[in-house]
Formats: sequence, C-alpha cells, structure tokens
Amino acid sequence: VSPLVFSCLFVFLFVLQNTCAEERPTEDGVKAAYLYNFGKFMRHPEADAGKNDICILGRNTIAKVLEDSKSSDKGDAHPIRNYDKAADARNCEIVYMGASESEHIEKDLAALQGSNVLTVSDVPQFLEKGGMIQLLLQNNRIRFAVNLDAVGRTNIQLSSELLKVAVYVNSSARTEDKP
Amino acid sequence: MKTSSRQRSIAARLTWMNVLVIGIALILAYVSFFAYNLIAYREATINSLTGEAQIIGENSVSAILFDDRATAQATLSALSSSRDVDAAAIYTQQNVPFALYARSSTDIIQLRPIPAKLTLAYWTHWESILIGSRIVFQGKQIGIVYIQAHLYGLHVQIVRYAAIAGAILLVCMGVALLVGSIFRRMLAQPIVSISETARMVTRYRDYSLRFSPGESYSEMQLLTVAFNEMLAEIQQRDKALAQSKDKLELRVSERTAELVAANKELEAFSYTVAHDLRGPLDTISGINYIIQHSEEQSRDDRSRQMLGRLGTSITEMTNLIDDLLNLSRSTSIGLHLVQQNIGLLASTILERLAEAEPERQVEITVHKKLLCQCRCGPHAGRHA
Repeated sequence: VSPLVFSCLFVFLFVLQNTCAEERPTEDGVKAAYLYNFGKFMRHPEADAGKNDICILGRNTIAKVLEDSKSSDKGDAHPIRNYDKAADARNCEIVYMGASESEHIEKDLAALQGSNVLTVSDVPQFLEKGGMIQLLLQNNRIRFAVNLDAVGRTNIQLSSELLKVAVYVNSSARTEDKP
Repeated sequence: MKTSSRQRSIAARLTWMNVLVIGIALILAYVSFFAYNLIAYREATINSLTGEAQIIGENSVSAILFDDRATAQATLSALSSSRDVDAAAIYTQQNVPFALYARSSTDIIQLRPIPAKLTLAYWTHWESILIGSRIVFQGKQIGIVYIQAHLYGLHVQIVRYAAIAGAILLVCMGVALLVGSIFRRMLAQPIVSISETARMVTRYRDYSLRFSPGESYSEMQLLTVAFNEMLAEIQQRDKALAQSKDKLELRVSERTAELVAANKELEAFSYTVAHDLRGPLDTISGINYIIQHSEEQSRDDRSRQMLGRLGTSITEMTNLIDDLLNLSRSTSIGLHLVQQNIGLLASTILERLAEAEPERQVEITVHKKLLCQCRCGPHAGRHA
C-alpha cells in the first residue's frame, strides 16, 4: 500500500507544480512580454515606419518564448529573428542582447550606432555602456531603467507612459529614480 | 370704527393674497429649480467621474502592461482630492485586482460586470454611484477601472438652496407687504367708500347721498357712476311715490268728508221723515183708542176685529218708525253680535202674509228653533 500511496502523492505534486508553473509567468515570459510592449510605447521616424522585427543577439532562451507568445497572440505579429552579429540587426525595431553578449556589449552597441534600433538587455551596467533599456530584477519582479541620452542619439521617441513606469531614467538633462 | 375695520379687512385680504401668491410661486419655482439642479448635479458628477475613470485608465496602461502596481496605485491615489470618490480599483484583463484605493477601510467596491458592447457603464443607487470603464490599449482591453462615489455635495446643495430660497422668500414677502400697503389704499378705499355710502343710504333712507369717484381706476369709476345713477333713480321713484301718496290721502279725506256729509243728510232726512210720520200716527192711534173704548156694546164682532187689527197695525207702524229712526242712527249706534231665531222670524212673516192674502193656500214648513249668530241692530229682525 505504501509504495502506491507514495506514487499517487508524487503524481499529484508533479501535476500541481506544473499547474502552478503555468499560472505564474516565468522570467523569460515576462521579459518577452516587455519586449513586445516596448514597441507599443515608441515611435519610429517615417523612414523606418512599418518595421517591427524583434531581434535576439546570440543564443538565448527568450527567443523560444517569443516565438510561443507570437503563436498564441495573433494580434501582435512581430517577426522574431536571431542574429549572431549586431551589424545584421540594424533594420530591427528592437534588439535584445542576452547574457551571452555580456562580453562584447560595447562592440554590439557600436555596430548598431546610427541606426534607429531600441537596444534592450539585462546585462549589468548596460545603460552605462550606452544601452537604452536595461531589465532589472527587483523584489522578484522584472523592472526596467531607461537611458534617455542613448535614445536621444537616435530618431526614436519613447512615450512618457513608458518612462513613467521605469525604475529610473538616466539622462544628462535629468535623472529620475523611483523608490 | 366699522369703516376702519372693513378697510383693514379688505386691505388685509388683498395684501395677504399677494403674499400668498408670491410665496406659492416662489416655492414652486424653487422646487422646479431644485429638481433641475439635482438632476444636473447628478449628471455632472457622473460625467466628471466617467472622465476621471477614463483618465485613470489611460494613465494606467503602461503600469498594467509593465506590471507596475506602484505607479497604478499612485495614479489611483490622485482620486483622494476628489471629494465624492469613496473607492477605486484597477482590475486586469483576468479580473485580478491590480491596484486599489479606498478613502476608508469600510469603503468596498461592489463590482458589476460591464455589458459586452459598452466600454463605459455606471450604476446608481440613491446617492451612490459606481463607474466602470474598460482600459483599452491599441484596440485591446487590458483591464477595467472602477470608481465608487457618493454624492456628498448633494447635501451641501440642498442646504445651500434651502437657505437661498428661504432668504429670497422672506425678502420677496417683505417687499410684497410693503408694496401691498402702498397699493391697498388705491384698491380698497373706493370699495370701502361705496359700501359706507350704501350703509348710510340704507340706514337713513337718504337717497340724495352720492359717492365721489375721485382718482380711482376705470372699473371703480364705472362702479361709482352706476351706483350714483342707481341712487338717483331710487330718489326719483321715492319722490314720485311720496307725491302719489299725498294725492291719495287728499282724495281719501275729501271722499270721507263727502261721505260723512251724505250720511248726515240721510240721517237728517230719515229723522225728519220718522218724526213727521209719528205725529199723524199718534193721532190715528188716539182716535183708534177712543173708538175702541166708546160704544163698545153696539159694535159687532167684525168691527171689533177690524179695530183690533187697526190697533196692531198702528203699533207695528210705531215700531217701524222707531226702527227707521234707529236705522238712521246706525252709523253712530253700531252693530252687535246677537243670537237670532231665524225660524221664529220666518214663522211671524209667514203668518202676516197669510192674513194679508187669506185666499192663497200655501203650505210651508219652518223649523221653530233655527238659531244663528249675526251682527245687527236691536230690532233688526223686525225689518225683515
């Protein structure tokens, strides 16, 4: 009787864990949702109107999550692309640089300089290195910070709504921090 | 004193009528304005709250999309400056509470589903209002914002309107009393004067009295002119009546005098006739007496019977003359109510007729006791 009870209990706990895991979004899922939503709060110059590619630099599990989200959300048809070289991602709307790119962030940013691409990463010191939006983990929640100077060097315009929910905004003109 | 009391009465009635009319009109106007203001205030509050709900929804889009509850909470907290808002909440698309605001711990929002085709809905219950507004971003609903409010300002509005209406009512009634006291003389004085004149005419029968219209308005002038014309007509008729009465009295006195004179003449005539007849009749009666008592043995029965009848006739003639004299004085004697035996009177007359005409054989039955009450002189029965 005892092994049978243990087996049932194990199966029950496994199912329960999977159920809870499905209900609570994963970190990659939240980041993927953020990447989708960043595009909704930015305006491109007229020359780049219509581009809405979300590009992933390097190998990153978030690409798969983005693809899954894309298939489940038919309304937001953002093409998901994977590139190894930053220069190939100059025509993207948003470029996400995962942890695999932490070694050559400056190089990637330099390659994208002059293009109207929103750069996003969760690599530490991303904003100081010239990135535009850095994803942060605060109190078990994914937040983000914005470097307006880097955004200002492009023709991209970020909505004030996006800046409102940012943890802090870095710029030479102002620095806003939220508690 | 009566004049002043009547004047007060009609003037007071006019004044109070004005005050009452103004009061009722003002109260009706106040009730109408209050009802309109109540509806307008309610609609304005609903419009304001729906606007606030939509603004909060717009400002909470990024907070919902980036799971920033603190920002959403701060947005909701801005409603603390809105006096009527008790509580507010933002719910996600999965109907999970995202941010909550409550003025006090007892303020709890009773959620209601928004109808499918609407982006905005509100529910009212007495002074409580619940607003529900969908938060839509780029054509997709991402959440719902609810605002629960209470029309606290309604009580302030009611008190304020009551105070203003009471003050206006008092001022208007005071003005009405003041204006009424000014105008009441103009309206009431002519009527009071007319009534006083009518009272004097009725009491003293003096139809020569007239009322002066003065400076009264046209209706009062018409009334006073008509009143004066009526008095003139009555005076004229009264005068004619008095003249007719005098003439009639004169005629009656003349006729009475003529009648008295005629009666006297008739009385004198009757007296003269009776007196003149009595002389010869006394002579006949004396001769009859002498004849009856002289040479009585030489007369036969027939002669004796004839002399007896002559004596009886003389006696009847004497009574007749006496009655004639009495009749001539009947105007001075007067009639008396006496009881007469009509049956006996009729029997006497029938016997006399039978003696006068013995050849006629008539059978007449008369009741011997046929009494009646009649007004007549002492010997009236014999005249019949």
